[in-house]
This record gives sequence, C-alpha cells and structure tokens, in this order.
Amino acid sequence: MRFCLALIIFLMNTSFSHAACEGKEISEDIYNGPLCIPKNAQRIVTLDPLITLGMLLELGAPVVATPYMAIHDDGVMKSVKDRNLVDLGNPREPSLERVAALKPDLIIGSAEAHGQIYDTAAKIAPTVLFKHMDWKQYLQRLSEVAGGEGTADQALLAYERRVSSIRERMAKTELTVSTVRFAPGRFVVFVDGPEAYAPFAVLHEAGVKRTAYETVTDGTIVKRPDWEELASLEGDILLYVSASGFESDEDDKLEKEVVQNPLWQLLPAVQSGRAYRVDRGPWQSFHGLASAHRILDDIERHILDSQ
Amino acid sequence: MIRVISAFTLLLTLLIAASLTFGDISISWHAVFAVLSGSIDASQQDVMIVLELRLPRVLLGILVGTALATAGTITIAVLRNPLAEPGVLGINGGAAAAAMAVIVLMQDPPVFLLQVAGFCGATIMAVTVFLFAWRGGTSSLRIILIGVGLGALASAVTTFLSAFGEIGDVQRAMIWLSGSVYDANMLKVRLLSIWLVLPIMLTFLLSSELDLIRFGDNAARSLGQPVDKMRGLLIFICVMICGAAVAVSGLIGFVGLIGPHIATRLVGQAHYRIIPVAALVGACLVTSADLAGRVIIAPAQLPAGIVTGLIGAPFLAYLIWGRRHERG
Amino acid sequence: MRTGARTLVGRRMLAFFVLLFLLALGCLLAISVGTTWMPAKTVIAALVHFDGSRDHILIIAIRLPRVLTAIIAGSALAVSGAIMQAVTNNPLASPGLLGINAGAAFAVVTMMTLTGSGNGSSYIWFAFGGAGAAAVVVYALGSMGGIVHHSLGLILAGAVVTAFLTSLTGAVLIFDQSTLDAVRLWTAGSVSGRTFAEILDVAPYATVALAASLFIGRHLTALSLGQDASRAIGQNTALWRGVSLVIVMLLAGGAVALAGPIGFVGLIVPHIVRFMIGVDYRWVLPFCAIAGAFVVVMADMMGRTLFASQNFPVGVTIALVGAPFFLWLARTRVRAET
Repeated sequence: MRFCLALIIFLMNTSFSHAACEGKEISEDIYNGPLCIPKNAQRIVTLDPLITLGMLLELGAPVVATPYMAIHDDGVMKSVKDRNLVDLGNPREPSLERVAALKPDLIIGSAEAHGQIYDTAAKIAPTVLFKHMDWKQYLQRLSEVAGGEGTADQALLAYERRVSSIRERMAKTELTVSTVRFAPGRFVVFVDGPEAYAPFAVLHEAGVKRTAYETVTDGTIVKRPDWEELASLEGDILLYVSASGFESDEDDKLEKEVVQNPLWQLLPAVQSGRAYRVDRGPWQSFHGLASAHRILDDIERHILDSQ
Repeated sequence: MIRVISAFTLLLTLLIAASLTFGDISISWHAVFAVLSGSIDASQQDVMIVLELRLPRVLLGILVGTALATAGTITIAVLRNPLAEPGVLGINGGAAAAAMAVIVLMQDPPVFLLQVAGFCGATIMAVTVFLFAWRGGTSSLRIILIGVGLGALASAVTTFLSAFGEIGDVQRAMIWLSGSVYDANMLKVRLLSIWLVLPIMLTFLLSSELDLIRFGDNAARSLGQPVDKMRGLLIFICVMICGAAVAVSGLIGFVGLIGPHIATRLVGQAHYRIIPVAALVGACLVTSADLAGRVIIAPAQLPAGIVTGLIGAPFLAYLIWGRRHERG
Repeated sequence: MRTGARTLVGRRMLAFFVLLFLLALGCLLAISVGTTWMPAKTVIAALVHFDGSRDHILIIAIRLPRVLTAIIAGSALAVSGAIMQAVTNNPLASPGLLGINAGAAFAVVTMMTLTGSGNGSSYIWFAFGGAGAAAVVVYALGSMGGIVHHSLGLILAGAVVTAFLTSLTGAVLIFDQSTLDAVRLWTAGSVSGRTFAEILDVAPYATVALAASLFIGRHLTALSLGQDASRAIGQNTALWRGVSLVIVMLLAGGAVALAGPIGFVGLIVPHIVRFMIGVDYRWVLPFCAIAGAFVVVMADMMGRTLFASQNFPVGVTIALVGAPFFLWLARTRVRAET
C-alpha cells in the first residue's frame, strides 16, 4: 500500500541537499550555527514571550505569533492583542502545529529552552535559537536578524547618553543601594556581577553602588537570604519588588506581610524612611529598552532626586 | 482471543487516524489521506503538520505504550502482585533523580543528555534494587520493599534538587517528569523501535516462564525453572524496556498497571495471550492520552502522563470495587 | 513480683524524663544554631525577659517557631506511625509509605490552587480530609487479593497511591505557578518559615490527638497482637480501629499541613522505641512523641549546619538517614518467602 511505502521511505530518512545561502548567514552565539536566514523576514515567530518578544516589538519587527502564557507586563500584552498575534500556548512547549500553519519565514527562540525542538522547528522555517547573552548585545543581534541592521542604533545611543549622565550624577553621591524581591516565604536578591540579570546590569552601568553582600565577581545571579541574612542589605536606600508569583493579585498582601515584620523595620533604609517599592514589570520581566528606561526613571526618582 | 485482538487493532487504527486528523489546526480526512498517499494535491503545510509533527508523536506513543504495558506484565508476574508497577522497581525514581540533576545542575545541557541520563538513572536504580534485595536468593517481597525504600531516597534527592534549582529549570524538569511525547521526532521513533524489538520478542518467547514464576518459587522450581536466574533475566528485560520508554518520554504512569489488568480480564491468565493484548491496550491508552492532552486545552499541551494519571484514579476505584469481596 | 514491676515502671519513668530533658537541651541547641550563634544565656533571656532587641526578635520570631514546628510535626508523625503499625499489625506501616502524607499534601495544594494561597486556617481541614481519604483508599486497595502477603499488599497499595497523588500534585503545580512558588520548599518537608499563627492553627488538634492517643494505649496493645487474639479477648476491634483512624488523620494531617510531607519519622521512630522499651503501647506512644520531636529538631539543626542554608528542608535530611535504615530493616527482617 502507498501508505506503507511512504512510511518506509520516511523511516529511511532521505537527507536533503545543502543549497547556497540566498539571505544572510549568521553563526555566532546560536544553536547549531551557521545558519542561512532570509534578509528581510516578513513573518517572524518568537518562542520566547519575555525579552525576545519585548525587543522585537520595540524594533518594530513583523512578529506574527508568540506564546501568551508568560507575559506579565500589561503594556506588552496590550501590544500583543492589538496586533492580533497568534497564541502559541506554553513557552516551554509551544504549539508547533500553529507555527506551521502560519507559514513563517523565521523562528526565534532560546537555545536553552528550545534546543529540544530545534530539528522539528527547523523543518518549518529557519530557526535561530540564541544563547544567553548581555541584553544590549542581544538587542543588536535581534536587530541584525529581524529588524534590519542599525534600527536599534539610534535608540541605543539615546540610552547610552542618558545612562552616562546618570552615572556622572551618581558618582557625586556616597549612597549605597540595596534591592530585594519578596517571594512567598523567601527573599531573592539579584546580585551585581558579570552575569547579572538585565535590570541589575542597568543599575551597574548607571554607577549605582550596591552593598558588599550584593556584589559578586563570579557567575552568581541570585542570592536567597532568609530573615537573618536580610540584615546584610544595609544600603542607605532600599528598592523592593513584591512578586508573589505569576499573577499580581497577591503582591500587595505579600508586601504588607513583610513590611509589618519587626525584623524588616530594623533595616537601616527602612528606619530612615528610604525604602521604596518599585514596579515588578521592568524589574522582574525585563523586556527591552522601555524596561531599561523605566529602571533609569526609578533611579532618578528614588536615588538622585530625593536627596 | 482473535476477536479481542482485532477489536483493539481496529481501535488503535481509529486512534491513529484521529490523532493525525485532530489537533490545534484542523485538517480534514481528505487532506490527511492525500498526505499519506503521497498525492501532489496535499498542501505543503498539511504535509508538514501530519508527517513531521503528528505522525512521530503517534508512532512514539504506540511504542511507549507497548513498552510500558509489556514491562508492567513482567513486573506483575515476577513480583506476584496485581498492583506491581515497573515504578516499584525504582525505575521512575531513578530516572527522575538523574533527569532533575542534569537539568538543574548543568548550564545548557546538550539536548540528548536528558535521554541518556534518564535511562542511566533508571538502570542504575533497578540494578541497585536487585542487588540490595539479593540475599542468597531473591524474594518478591524484599524486592518490592527495597524498591520502595530506594525510590523514597531517589525522590528525596529529586525534591532537594527541585527546591534549590532555578524556577525555570524546575518547571522544565517537572514537565519532562510528567511524561509527554511532545518532542517526538522520527529519529527517536527509529531508535526506540530498534531498541525495543528484541526485548519485547524475548518477553513473548518467555511467556511460559512468566506463567511458571507466577505460581510461586517452590512450584516453579519443582517444575524445573531456575527461579533466581529467571527472575533476574526478566527484571533485566523489564528495565531495558521501561528505561528506554522513560528516557524518551518521561514518566507516564499507570499504563503498566492498566494494560495487563484489562488483558487478563479479557483473555485469561496465559501470558502468551496477555502480552500481545496488553501491548495493544497500552498503545491505545498512550495514543488516546496524548490526543486528549493536545486537544483539551489547546494551544497549551497537557502532558500524556497527567492524562493517564487522571485515568488511573477511576481505574483504581474500579479495581477496589471489583475486588471488594476478595480477601488477601 | 511487685518489686520487679515497680522497678520497671520506675526505670521507664526515669528514661522518659531523661528523654524529655534531652529534648529540652536539643531545642536550646537548635535555637542557638543559625546564621549567627546565639549563646544560651541570650536564648533564655529572650524567652523569659524579652527586651525588643534585634537578637531577641530573631529568636522569638524566627528560631522559636522553627523548633516548635519541628516538635509538633515530629511527635505527631511518630505517634501516628506507631498507631498505624499497631492497627495494621504491619511493621512497615507509616504515614509516608501508606500514602497518607501524600493525600494530605495533595489536598492542601489543591485548596491553595482553588482559593489562592494563604487563606486562613481552612487548609487544615483539607489536610485532615486528604489524610483520611488516602488512608481509607490504601487500606481498601491493600486488602485486595494478592497471592500471599497482606502486608505486601498494603505497602504496594501505599506506593501506588503515593505515586498517583504525587504525580497529580505535580500536575497541579505545573499549571499554577504562584502555588508552586509558595510551596516549593514545603513539598520537600520543611519546618522553616512558619508563623505563630500557623502553628496555633494546628497545635490544638495535634495536642488533642496526642492526648487521646495516650488513652487508647491499652487497646492498641491488644490490636497489635493480631485480629484473632484481639477478638479472643473480646475487644471491639472495629471501634478502636475507627478511633485510631481518626487520631492518625488528625496527627498526620496536622503535621503535613504545618511542615509538609516528612517521610520515615513515622516508620523508624516507633521501631527504635519498641526496641528500647518493648511493645506496651501505653509506654510506646509517649516515648514516640518525645523521640519523634527530638529526631526532627536535631535533623533540622544538622541539615542547617551541614548544608549551610537556613532553609534546608528537614524532609531531605531525614530521608537521607531514614531510607538506609528502612533498607536495612527490609533486608534483615524480611525472610525469603517459601
């Protein structure tokens, strides 16, 4: 029967020939490079709904689909719905059937999260899975791949100018700053180091000085102090995020719980009244230049202007 | 018996057809047929979806279901208890601990490492269980108890790793652990089918030994069976089968329990009849679980392991109810 | 004769008070150990003469609840294990192995998902319900036809039900991120981070159940002799089994609600206690309570010291020690079947 024949042929895996690249060729920092991708992709699918989606939207790239499940930020969600992006479900197991039905010409994802499905995705469209890198570098790579080279340059230049002016102003103060995130039953401190999470890399660039506990030289990204170790957050100013989980409903309750604890009230920043809550959107789900600018806003508002 | 086998084969064929047709994107029966018969009319996109995305999942599901059901038949016979699942041998616990270790401790592990780790974890655990239980001979009771104990140890290690890993990694691990054929591809199908052919055929050939060992050590020995060696061999085969299935698709539970039970109910106690029927039941079960998981909350996927787990509850209840008059 | 009995009772009372004293010392030590060492003087001062200083706040608000949680969970689990072993006449019965912990944990997680985490004290009732339901299911399954051993059937039924409930719990947690975040440590069995409010939710039920268990000691001894023997002496086995079930439900459910599913305490502590003082359950139960509390307090302290993290789940430490002990038990006490 023809079905059996088709099955047998498939089981024998005919390999396809390697054509010359008509578009762009990229090879650094990606999974299974070098790859040939179209010069001007018109239908892009992103498998990562956080930083990749955010940056692609900022670059004005023609995105057609993204997983909805992990999008926290209201602004991003609104953009996504306004553009009628197709929902791919869970970012860890995106629906490849929907991707196939969209006939995209480029798929972008994360090497760490999507390496397993690379082979299948690559059969649908050229698939670029980026490895983990510094956020500004990532913005550059994405603009090369999706928005056309140089689209991000203007924006990055503006950002750099703003950061250096803030850095000058910070150098004139002697203040140390501590940051912490509240999670149910524990605390998470994102440290200042070579592998720092994007918002805290921004802090570092802006010349913000963190306490000794919060500064590292190795690849640590987070520390998890308990109530006793919390005393090490002895900065003059304390910025905190309340993020109880995926949804934001419980955040206020969590904040109240923590702030009422006498051990919290013994912290130097709290005692001098310089503990401020910041929005979890840019600080916990960083998604591009807009987030970076909001972080700089927070720095200006709480550290520089409140002197 | 012929009737039972034909009925289940028919069911399986229907499930295969349904799995190829239904999913996130609807494809009509005509289109599916066009794709399968290699006709030029079939659209590129349909070919992609049916042959690249759905077909490997279906085939993998069939293989995994067959493997788990056969492994379950072996454990029930060797451990002489209707509730004995391959998981009791610590296979699931070992695979889970190894996989969790890889995901949490390694930065950017290469993709195939998870498979290898799962398989190694399962095998090492099963071997350890068997060695610990060996004390001048083996005994079903000891094997089960040691399996439970080592399983608890492995589960403590897994929980420990999950409590301290990055939440993203832990989630990835939990999805793998809940058993899914999401990332199926033809390579896995090919490898798994080659791997499984020998052990499953061997199991079928050893049906009479399975019948014997089920009667108890003394009875089997008096009929000339080298009981300890046979138990060891059968457990070895079971681990090979189960370890491969777990490595490929994570922990899909209850197939090893439900398959043999339904088979015994339908065709009696003789293993040369139970094995093929249990295999068919297992294949149907996993295929339908995967189909249900794909379709119920699209576009998100419910892992097949969770669906089989949910089916397990009513099944356990049915078992209790059916046996309420029996006293051990 | 009479002198002999009196000396026996006297010896046991002495042993009991020694154990109690050891527990108190252990608690003192556990409170002193932490990120910074608190000398005993400071600890006692904080308890007796609280002065609002940072150290005293730390002791009362952070370290004391941890030790109290450990005491409640440890004693509850050990006593419930002893009761289960008596009633089922199976030396391997315990809330962890027979799915009762898994049942309570699943019920709590489900409640948190359905109603949002941290919703007052109603989670206790879910824990009790889950524990009770699991006990009934496992017992029913375990009495089904297995070819030879009833004890085997019970253990296997427990393993199957535990696996099933654990996978279901995992399924719920995959889809409810916020609950996953809140319970990650608790699912491993942890005594850290409990507030006084939470402890006070559970304490009344645990205390009542522990007190009740003292009264059924005599009947448990009879039950542990086996069905035939207890019927022969005219005991109403159904009644006392029922009472035991309720007590086990309260104890195990309460322990899990507070500290998560900690395995092996309910299995091993009764064995050690019986080894030391025999099978008179009027004595076994109180000793189990103290010994269980001691084990959990010390295990938590050691885990925190050895693994340098104040949040290290005590369930893992106990499993790492308890599992080898259980394996030893299974290897040496179980003879090959004929």
